[in-house]
Amino acid sequence: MFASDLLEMLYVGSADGAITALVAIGFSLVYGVGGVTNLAHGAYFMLAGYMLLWILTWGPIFSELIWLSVVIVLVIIAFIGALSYLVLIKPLQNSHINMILITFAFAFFLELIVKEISGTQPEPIDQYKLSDIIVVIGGVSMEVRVLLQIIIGLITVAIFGLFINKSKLGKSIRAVSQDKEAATLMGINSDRILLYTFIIASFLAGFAAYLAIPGANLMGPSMGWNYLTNSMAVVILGGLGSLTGSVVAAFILNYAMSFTLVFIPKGEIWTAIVPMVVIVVMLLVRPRGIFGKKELK
Amino acid sequence: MEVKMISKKSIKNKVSGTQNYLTTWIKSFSGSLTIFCLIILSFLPFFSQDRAYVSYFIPQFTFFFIYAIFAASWDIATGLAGQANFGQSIFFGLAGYIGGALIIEMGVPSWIAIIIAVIGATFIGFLVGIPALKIKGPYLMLVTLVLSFIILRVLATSHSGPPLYGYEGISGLPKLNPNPIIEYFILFISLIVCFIIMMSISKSKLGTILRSIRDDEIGSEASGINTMKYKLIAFMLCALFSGLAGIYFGLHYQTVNPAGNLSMTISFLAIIMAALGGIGTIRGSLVGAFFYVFLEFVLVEIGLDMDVVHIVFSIILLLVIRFASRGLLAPLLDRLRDLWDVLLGR
Amino acid sequence: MKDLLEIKRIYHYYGSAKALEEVNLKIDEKSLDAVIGPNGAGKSTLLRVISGLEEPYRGKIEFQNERIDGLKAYTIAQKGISHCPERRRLFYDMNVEDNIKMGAYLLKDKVRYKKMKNFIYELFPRLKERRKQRAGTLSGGEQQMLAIARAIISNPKLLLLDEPSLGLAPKIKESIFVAIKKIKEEGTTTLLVEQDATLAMDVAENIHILEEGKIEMSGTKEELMKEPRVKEAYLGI
Repeated sequence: MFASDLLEMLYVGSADGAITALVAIGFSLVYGVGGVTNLAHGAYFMLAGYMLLWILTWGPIFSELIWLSVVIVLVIIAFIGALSYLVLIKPLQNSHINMILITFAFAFFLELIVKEISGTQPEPIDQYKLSDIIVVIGGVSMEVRVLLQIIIGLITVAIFGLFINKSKLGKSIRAVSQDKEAATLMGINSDRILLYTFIIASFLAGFAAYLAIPGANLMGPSMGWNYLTNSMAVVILGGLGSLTGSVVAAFILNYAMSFTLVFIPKGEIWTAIVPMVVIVVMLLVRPRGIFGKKELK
Repeated sequence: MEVKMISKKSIKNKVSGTQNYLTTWIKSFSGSLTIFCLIILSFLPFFSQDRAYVSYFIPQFTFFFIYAIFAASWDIATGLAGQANFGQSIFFGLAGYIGGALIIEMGVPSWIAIIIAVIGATFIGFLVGIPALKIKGPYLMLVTLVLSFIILRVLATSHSGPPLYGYEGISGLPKLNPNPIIEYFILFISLIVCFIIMMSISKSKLGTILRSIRDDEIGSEASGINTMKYKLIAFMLCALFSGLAGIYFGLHYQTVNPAGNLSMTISFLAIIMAALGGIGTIRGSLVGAFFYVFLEFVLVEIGLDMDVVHIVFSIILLLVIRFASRGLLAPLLDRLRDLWDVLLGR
Repeated sequence: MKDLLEIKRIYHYYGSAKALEEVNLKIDEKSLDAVIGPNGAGKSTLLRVISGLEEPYRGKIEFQNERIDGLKAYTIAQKGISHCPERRRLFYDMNVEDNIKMGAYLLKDKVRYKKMKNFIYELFPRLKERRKQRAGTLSGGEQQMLAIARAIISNPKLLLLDEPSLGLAPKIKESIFVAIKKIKEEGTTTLLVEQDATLAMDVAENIHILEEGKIEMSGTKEELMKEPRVKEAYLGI
C-alpha cells in the first residue's frame, strides 16, 4: 500500500515537475535578463492551452493536421510574448512599478478574454493526446502520455540548456543577465536580447501547455496564475540564474505538493499552500535559493 | 500657572491657525471643488422620491464610497510606499469574512463586528507585512500575490458548513441599515473621515518617509530610516482601510464568498481605480472610483455583460499605465483648475 | 595628424551634481593619451559619455568626423570604440574563453578572430593557461588582463581603458602597462584613465589633467614636468 502510494506520488510529482520546470525556466530567464517580473507568464500557458482547443473548432484541416495546428499555436503564443514586451513592457522600463502593473493588467486581460470565449468550466482536449495507452506499474495505473510528457519535458530542458550554454545567442543572453552594461559595451543590443528571451519564454510556456493539457483538462481561465505562482516558488527555491537549480526546484516543489496530496488528509486543500510555504521559508532562510549565484534584486 | 497660560495660548494659536488654513483652503481651487462636491453629495439622496432612484441609483454612490476607500488604501502601500501589492483582496475579503462570521455565528451586533473586522484586517496586514521585515525588493509583491490565490483556494475548497460555508460563502448578513438613504450617509461620513485621515497621513512626516522609501530605498536606509518598520506600517494602514471597505461591502451585499470578495478581480478593481485617478496621489482614488462606478453603471445599462465590462476596464487599465501613468483624471483636473482661475479672474 | 575623436564642450550632470564641465579633448589617430586626476574628478564619467553609457547633457562628440553623442552604447561599440570599464565588469559566471568570445561579439570574420586571439594569448599567456576557468575565480591581475583582452579582441579603432591598475600589486601593475604599450604599438589608439599618475605618464604621449570636471592642463610628459604644481600634486616630488 505504502509503496504504491509512494509510486503514485512520484508519478504525479514528476509529471507536474517537468511542466513546471518548462514554465519556470522561461519566467526565470525573463526575470534574470530584463529584471521583469512578468505576471503574464502563466497566462501564456493558459492561453496556449485554450488556443489548442479553439483551433480544433476552426475547421477540419486543423483537426486532421495535428502537428500543423500545434505549430501554429506555438508561433502565435511566441508572437504574443514578443508583442507583450515590445508594446507594453519596453516603453515602461524606467518605472519598475508600472512595468509590474502592466504585466498584471495584461494577464488579467487575457484571462477575461478567454473567460468570455470559453467560460470557466473545465474543458477536455483529447485530440492532441500523445498516447492513449495506460500501463499499470507497481499497482499504479499510469498513462503513457504522462510518461512521454515527463521525458519530452526533460529533453526540452536539456536542449534549452545546450542552447543557453553553447550557442552564441545563448551566451549573449547570459552576458546580458550577468552584466547588462558590460554586455552593451560588447556591442550587444540588450533590448533585442530581452525580446528574444520573451519569445523563448512564451514559446516554452506554450510548449509546456501542449505537453500537459491534451488528455487532461483545461482548468479554467484562471489556471495561469497557479503556474505563475509555482514558477515564482521555483525561482526562489532554485535560485536565479541557475538552470539546474530551476529544474531541481521544480521537481522538489511538485514532489512536495504530490506528497501532500497523497499522504496528508484533505491534501487537495493543503497542496495550494506548499508554494507559499516554500517561498516564505526560502526567503527567510536562504534568499539566494539552493543553487543561486546572486540574490534577486 | 505660567505653563498653563502658555499652553492655552498655543492651543488658541493652533486653533486660529487651523481656521486660517481652512479659510484659505476653501478659497483655493481644490477646496472649493471639494466643498461643492460635498454639498451635492449631501443633498443628492433627496432630489427624488422615485423608488428606482432611491433603491438603484443611490446605491451606486454607496459603491463609490466603498470603492474609493478601498482604492485609496491600495494607494497607501503601492503608490506612497512603493510596495506593489497584488493581495489587496486578502484584507478586503478576510475582513468581510471575520465580520460575517461574527454576526452569523455569534450574533455580534454589526457595529462591533465592523470594529473587530477592521482590527482583524489590520492584524492580517501585520502578518502579511512581517516577511517585509526581512525581505526586500519584489519579494513582498510575490508573497502578496501568492497568498491571495492560496487564501482564495483554501476558502473555496473549505468545508461547506459553518463557519465558512465553502464555495457558497456566508450569507444572510444584515444590511448596514435597511434604509438606503441612511446607509448612504453612514458610508458618506465614513468616506470623509477615512480620506481626512489618509490625506493627512500622506501630508505628514510619515507620508514623506514612505515616499522616500518608494523613491530610494537604499538611500532612505542610509539616512537612518528603518525602512522595514515603515513598510510594515504602510501595509497595516493599507489593510486597515481596505478591511473597513471590505466589511462594508459584505454588509451591503449581505453575503461574503470567495468569488465575490476574495477573487483577483477585487485586487484588480483597487488597482484600476487608483491608476485611473493617478497612483500615489490618494485623492486620485476618489476620482478613479467615481469614474469606475459610473462607467460600469453606464456599460451595464446599455446591456453589456459584466465580464465584457471587466474586459473594457482591463483595456482601460493597460492604456492608462502605458500612456498616462499620471492617471487620466489628474490632467483633467488641471484643465478644470485653469478654467476656474479664469472664471475667478486670477 | 588626423583626429580620431574630438570632444567639444561636453557637460554632464548626475542629478544636480556636476560631473563634467566644458571638457574639450582631441585624440590623434594611433596615439596613447592618458587622463589623470584625483578620485571623483569625472574621469570615468568622461569615458562613459564617450562610449554612450551616459548621454552628455550638452556638447558634441565626433568620432571619425561623425557625431556619436546620443547614440546607444551598442551602436557606438559597432563603430569601433571599445570601452574597458571601471572595476572590469567581467561576465563572472562564464569562463575565460567565453568572455573573450563575448568581446568579439561584433567580429564576424573568423580568421581575424583567430589572429586576434593568438595575439591576446601571446600578450597574456596566463589567460591561455586558464582559458577554461570561470572568470569569477581568477585573481585580480588575471581579471584585469581578461578585461583588457575582452576589450581589444574586436580590434577596435579606439580603446578606452578605465583604471587598469586599480587594486593591483605594483608588479602586476607594471606588466599590465607593458601590455598596454604593446597594444598601442600594434596600432590601436588608446585613451587611458588612470589614478596612478607616474605609471600613466610613463606610457602616454599626451597627458590631460582632469580636476573637478574640467581639463586643467594638457601636454606631453616633459611639458607637464615643468609645472611645479603637477609635480607636487601628482608625482609627489
